Amino acid sequence: MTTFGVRLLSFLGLIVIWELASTLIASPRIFPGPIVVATLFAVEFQHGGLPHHLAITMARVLASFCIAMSFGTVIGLSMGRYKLVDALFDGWLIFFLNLPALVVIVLAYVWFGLSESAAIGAVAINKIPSVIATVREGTRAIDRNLTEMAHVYRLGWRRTLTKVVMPQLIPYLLVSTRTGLSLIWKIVLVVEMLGRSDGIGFQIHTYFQLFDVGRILAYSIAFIVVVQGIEWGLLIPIENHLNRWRR
Amino acid sequence: MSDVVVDIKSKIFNAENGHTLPVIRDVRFQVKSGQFVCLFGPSGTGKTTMLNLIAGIGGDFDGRIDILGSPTVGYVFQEPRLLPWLTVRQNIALVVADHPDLAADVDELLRAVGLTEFADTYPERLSLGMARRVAIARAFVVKPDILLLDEPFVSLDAENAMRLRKLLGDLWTSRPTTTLFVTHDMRDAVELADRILFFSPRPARLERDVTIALPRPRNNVDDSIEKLARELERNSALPNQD
Repeated sequence: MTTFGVRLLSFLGLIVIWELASTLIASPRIFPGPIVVATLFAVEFQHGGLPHHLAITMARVLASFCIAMSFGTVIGLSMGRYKLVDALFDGWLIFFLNLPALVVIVLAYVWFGLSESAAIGAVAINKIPSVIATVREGTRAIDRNLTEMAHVYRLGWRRTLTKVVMPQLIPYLLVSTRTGLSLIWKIVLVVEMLGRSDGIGFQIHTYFQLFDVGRILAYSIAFIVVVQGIEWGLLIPIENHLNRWRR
Repeated sequence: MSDVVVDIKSKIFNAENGHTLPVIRDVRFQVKSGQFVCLFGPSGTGKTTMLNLIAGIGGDFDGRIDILGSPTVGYVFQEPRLLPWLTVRQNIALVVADHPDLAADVDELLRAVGLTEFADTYPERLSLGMARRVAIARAFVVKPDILLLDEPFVSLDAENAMRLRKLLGDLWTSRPTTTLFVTHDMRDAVELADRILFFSPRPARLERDVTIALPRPRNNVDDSIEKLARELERNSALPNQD
């Protein structure tokens, strides 16, 4: 059997277990099956606000992700490269790594008001430390032999960065991207629930108060489908392209 | 091309455990412009360290290295040090990316080292001998004022080593440049060099300075290379006379 066949079968298996669990064990009101959820999804997609809220949440995820990746990469690079910077900020890194997401979000809203920038900033601050830790690790693993080669042949800092350093960091950046997207989207929902009036988090909160489990599942699954699409349509092709030189 | 004056009073390595290890002590020599000089000695004597100091990647040391102007260096490291994510051609072209006048030479050098058909191959798919040839092409493409080679034939089988030695000899004849070549193979030294510097075991000191007067090209028609190599090897095995 092909790998694709195995994946398809495993996916169908999950659907079947879900349907059985919903009808045999729980009541459909508390735990609706896949058919009910799919119908609700279609209704929300056509007549409800699903596309709007999905787009809003995606935009927030994307904004926080870009901010977190760029700050995290720059800081992680300098901490991995310069011992002094590492000594200066290592303690801070541990502090922020262990600061609960909820605390950051609440404080951001208290200090900066219930605004869009407070929301996105709070999410980014939650992700930046883990990007720093990963990129710092990658920077420490950089091959000194190649850096020396770049120095002898006078490649200059720009070419050294793009042709020598960054390619060695790509595996670390890809790990950061994957874990980042999933972490960020979870935090974005909390941010939306606590202080925004749109987005999937806000909708889930609303349907929680209405006790509408079907719609809660429909909204969650919509986002999971989008992230899966990003994985297959974007991340895997990029990864394959960047790894084409490997044996 | 430039004269190179090397005057290293001492070079010390700081080991992890806080100990210090003297690698080079009082080494003084001068290389004339266009000369091919071999640095010969047992492994671990700091010959690579000398090349690194000349290339500017050897760190702190006591002494000085004078090279006229700001020389372009071509360095063939012991491991090829190619960028695995760039093709053979991209690896060579990268070091002349700022010099469009030299970029035209990339394909010519690929032909000279016999790798034209591998130009678009990634280094991980090459054998060690082929990767070394890429590294040699990369060192020549910058039109170096000084060419540094660190045991470029080591861990190749005899036939590949011989082919690479001949290739290097031919390239050097057609593109002569001041060259420092580290080896512990006497035959390599005699076949390629104008002059051989013999170094002691660590900490490296200069023991003998021998000029090789054999005519070029030094092809294998008679056994004069072999004979001289054997003779020099016997002498270098003798205890130090001074």
